Amino acid sequence: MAAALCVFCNRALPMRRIGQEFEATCTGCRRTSRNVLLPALLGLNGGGPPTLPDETPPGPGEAACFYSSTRRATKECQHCGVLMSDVWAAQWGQTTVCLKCLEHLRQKGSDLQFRESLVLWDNVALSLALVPLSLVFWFMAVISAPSAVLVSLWHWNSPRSMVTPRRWRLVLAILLGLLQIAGGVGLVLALWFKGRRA
Amino acid sequence: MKKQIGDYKFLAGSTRIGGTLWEGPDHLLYLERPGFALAFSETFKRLDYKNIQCISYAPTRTGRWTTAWISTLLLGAAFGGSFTEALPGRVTLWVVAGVSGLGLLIHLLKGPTCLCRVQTAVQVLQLMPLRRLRPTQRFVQRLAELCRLHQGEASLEMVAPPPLRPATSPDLAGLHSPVSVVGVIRTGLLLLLVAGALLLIRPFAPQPAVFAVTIVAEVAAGILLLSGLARNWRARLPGMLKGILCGANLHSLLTLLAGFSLWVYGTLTVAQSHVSQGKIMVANQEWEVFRWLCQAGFAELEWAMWLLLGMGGVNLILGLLGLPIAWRLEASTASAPPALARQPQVSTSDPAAPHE
Repeated sequence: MAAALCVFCNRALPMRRIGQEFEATCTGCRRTSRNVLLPALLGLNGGGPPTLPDETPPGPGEAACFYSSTRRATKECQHCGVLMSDVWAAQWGQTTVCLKCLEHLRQKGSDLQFRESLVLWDNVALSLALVPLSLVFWFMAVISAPSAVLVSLWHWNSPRSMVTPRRWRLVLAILLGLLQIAGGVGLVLALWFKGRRA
Repeated sequence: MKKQIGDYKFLAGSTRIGGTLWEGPDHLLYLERPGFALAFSETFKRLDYKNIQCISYAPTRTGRWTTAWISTLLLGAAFGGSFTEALPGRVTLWVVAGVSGLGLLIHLLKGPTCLCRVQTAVQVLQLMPLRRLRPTQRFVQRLAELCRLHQGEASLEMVAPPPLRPATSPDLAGLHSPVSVVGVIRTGLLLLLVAGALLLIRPFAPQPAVFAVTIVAEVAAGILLLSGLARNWRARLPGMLKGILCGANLHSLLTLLAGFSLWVYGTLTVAQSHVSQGKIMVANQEWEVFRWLCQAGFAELEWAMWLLLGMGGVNLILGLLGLPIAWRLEASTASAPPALARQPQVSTSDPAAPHE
């Protein structure tokens, strides 16, 4: 059976009562933490080990699994609609999907329910635009300013964070990038004209 | 920030680094946002309410230390500002004091700091968005309600001191074992010592090899210590070692800045000498500056040599303080027996209830 662990040193804590918040002092580090133990700790959540999948071959007139024809189809993928056996089915929240769809949905990241990870291109572009504004890396503007504009335009329609879904970072990155490019071009032109006059 | 997106209801966190926590229909969504100043990615972690075994939180000392640091800065700046006669210096110090005061006020209003973890059968997840006690208490209350709703009510008293047995501890996902990276820290500290010794030698041995090896050792030590600190941030390292690592990283950053300033100074000096000789410097400028910096001694660069000596001394102190702690930690984690857990016994009036 599992035990509640100390927040600081990961030692097992002396347990008191399931379902209520209680204070416990760790016998190892002597520090106090507050804990809520839940029935799942004792296996009382109705979970238990998963049942073995149905391996029986399809009978006459019965549908076979789309991915493994030697198994009987018992479920239907709610994303692509194929009939599949228990082995190829995955329960994702309230949705039943086949493993291929699950992998695809997790990697694509367009559906919030399945999203696994996401690169925040708006923040990447903004960082590229802000790097030259630091006094130390001003010389990076030659590369980072055009990169900021390009990254912003390239990822204009890419999935954005669900917490900060607006595009103002991309717009700011484009503006800063264009300003830096204009400043750089102006400086080069000024130096060129000055050189010609001299 | 939106408070509801689709099926998800906002629970805690902010748009800054750390992440946010969202209440889903049957699971808790932890949206992790790692990064520095700006988050570059988001990772979605889902915990089913029916699988959560334990929610733990505990107040930490971070808040008190932060209060002490900001107060020291505030008092120092205010004290300096009161006694500085030059107007620019006085204004600068009072601005620093004002900003520190505002920071201290915000920090105190936010309340004490804490740690919060959620434990399932297969992982222990530290919830980084929850760093203050008050929002954490509200979050724990809500999450416990949701878990009870999905797992069913059960109030079972643990009775009698249970026998000790080795814990079947779950995989501590997100919590690195200190032993896994203590080797990196130890190597970094050793390199810091080497760099310190070389920095102390450098003013008296103006050789390109010494200069080059010093730079390599200092940079390698900085990278290793930063990596060790980053990977160990969530592990329970001794506070002293953590402080030394923070100090060493700050020192490496200052060394980098000092090196950059020296390079700029060297470039200007070399350029000036060329101008005075009536030459125009075009090719191999970097190599010439490097050679000049290698050969410079107390006669040419007295302030820089004293700076190098000071930096070398700091390196040596940090290395000598940190190494014994790292060695002790390595030895203790390597020889530690497995944690012991008490096996609870369930006492219930319902005979049908499962017993261990």
